[in-house]
Amino acid sequence: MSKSEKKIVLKSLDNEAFEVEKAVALQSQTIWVMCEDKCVGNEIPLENVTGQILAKVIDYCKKHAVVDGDGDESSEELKNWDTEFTKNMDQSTLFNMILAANYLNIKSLLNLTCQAVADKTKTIDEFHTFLNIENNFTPEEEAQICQENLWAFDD
Amino acid sequence: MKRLRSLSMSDLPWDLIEEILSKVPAIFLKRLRSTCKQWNMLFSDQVFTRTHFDIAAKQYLVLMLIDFKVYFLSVNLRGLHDNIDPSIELKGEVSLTNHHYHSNQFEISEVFDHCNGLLLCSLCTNMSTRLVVWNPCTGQTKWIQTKCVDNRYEESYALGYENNKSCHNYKILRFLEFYDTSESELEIYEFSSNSWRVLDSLTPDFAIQLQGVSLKGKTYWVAADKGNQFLGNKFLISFDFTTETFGPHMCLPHGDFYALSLVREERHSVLSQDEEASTIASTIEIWISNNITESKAISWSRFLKVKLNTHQFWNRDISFFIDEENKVAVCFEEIFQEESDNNNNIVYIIGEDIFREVNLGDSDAERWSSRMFSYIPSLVQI
Repeated sequence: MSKSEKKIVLKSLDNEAFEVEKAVALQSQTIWVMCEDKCVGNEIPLENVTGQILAKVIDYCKKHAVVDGDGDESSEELKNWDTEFTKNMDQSTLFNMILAANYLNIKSLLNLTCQAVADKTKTIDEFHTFLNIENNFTPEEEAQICQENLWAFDD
Repeated sequence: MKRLRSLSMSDLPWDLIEEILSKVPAIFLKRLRSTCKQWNMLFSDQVFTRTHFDIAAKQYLVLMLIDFKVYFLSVNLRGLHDNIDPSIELKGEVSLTNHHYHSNQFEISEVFDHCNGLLLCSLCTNMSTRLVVWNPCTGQTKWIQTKCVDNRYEESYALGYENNKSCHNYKILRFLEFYDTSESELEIYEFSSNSWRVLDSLTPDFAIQLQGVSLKGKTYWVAADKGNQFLGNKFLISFDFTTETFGPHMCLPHGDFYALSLVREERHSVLSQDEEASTIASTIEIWISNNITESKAISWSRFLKVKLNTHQFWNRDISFFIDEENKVAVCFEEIFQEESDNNNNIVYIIGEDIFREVNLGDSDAERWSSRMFSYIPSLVQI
């Protein structure tokens, strides 16, 4: 019976429920496997994703499901939509999206969000505030690498 | 609703950080090298560098060889068509060092070819030609000894690779042309065996005329039939490093060809200049080919045709690349100046209604070695 059902409910970590078309949700390999394996009925608990992020993931999946379905929209349009989609996300949202895309196993979304972070490396100052990674070089090691790198900063 | 936890890069698991970094163009990744040890280690991680080569965005850089040193050339043509002056400047030196020689600086006499972000250069030594394959982005080098220099022939080198699914087996082709007999001799150096061998099965009936360009494991040159090098028809010829054979002659647009370059690493472009008899005017034409790695037959379409009323007449060592967006060619020439006994290095920007000249200063006139080339930095391991 569950096979014939077209809709599915996704439940976030903070208990927000989203009813979506099955075709939309099944772009996530994780959800696909859950549907196959667990016979969970039509409600799927997603313990790693908050409602705020899940809503964005569903937006993305809806857009991409429609396009894959009827092929109305050109790939150009879809690309523009993707660009707009990540454009105004702050860094924390982007990293949350990356974690969600990874957990839900949606390859194209993982690709898109990782690319959005990678693109920020072009503006180096912005990227340094982005990183927040502990520098574990000794001052001598760092000086050596910086010396070898000098020309790369000259633009 | 639960509030989002504020995340930064360091909160991601390492495999996701690697996924992000594999999409960052090599030159930007180089800037991030000093972030932490783990990031620096990626430069020597073979799996990472291969993935990076396949998926990272291609970011062009222009390099310049002047006075035996390689420099980064900053080229900014924004607003060119709104009468804003182009900004073209020689920036930092990209130094070639060898840790075995206690960071001795080396003088580079020639850059023969570049392929996948690797440069094939020769060094100034008295006794022999010393070749080095160099990745300026990672600083990695491979030093290759060749035979003694001999005045009886002209030598030229090309870098390519054998197309092999698992990895690229890089090779160097050494092309000798004897002045007296005009016979050719070919040798191949394989990185996998670190040795030279003679290719005696090939006897080219043509002479290569200009610096070659590498594209997807093959090297291409403008060539002409032997014995008729100056007046005869010119054609494009390729050497396939997988089969170690030359391809068929490919036609070129009509004209006398002075330079060959690549467009976005998929198509060729050629530049010609025809002098008009008894005037100082000349006509520059630049043509672009179709993507010949996809289709077998080559065809050409004209990118630019410009008549110049200048005294400049270019020598055969001109180098250039085209900027499709601004519809201009950026050309470089080294000109001998009698007054100063030096060579003057000049960049020209040429478009249908644009002619700009930028002087990059003088260089030693003893050796003609200046060259400009646009290339895509990579993390490719040698």
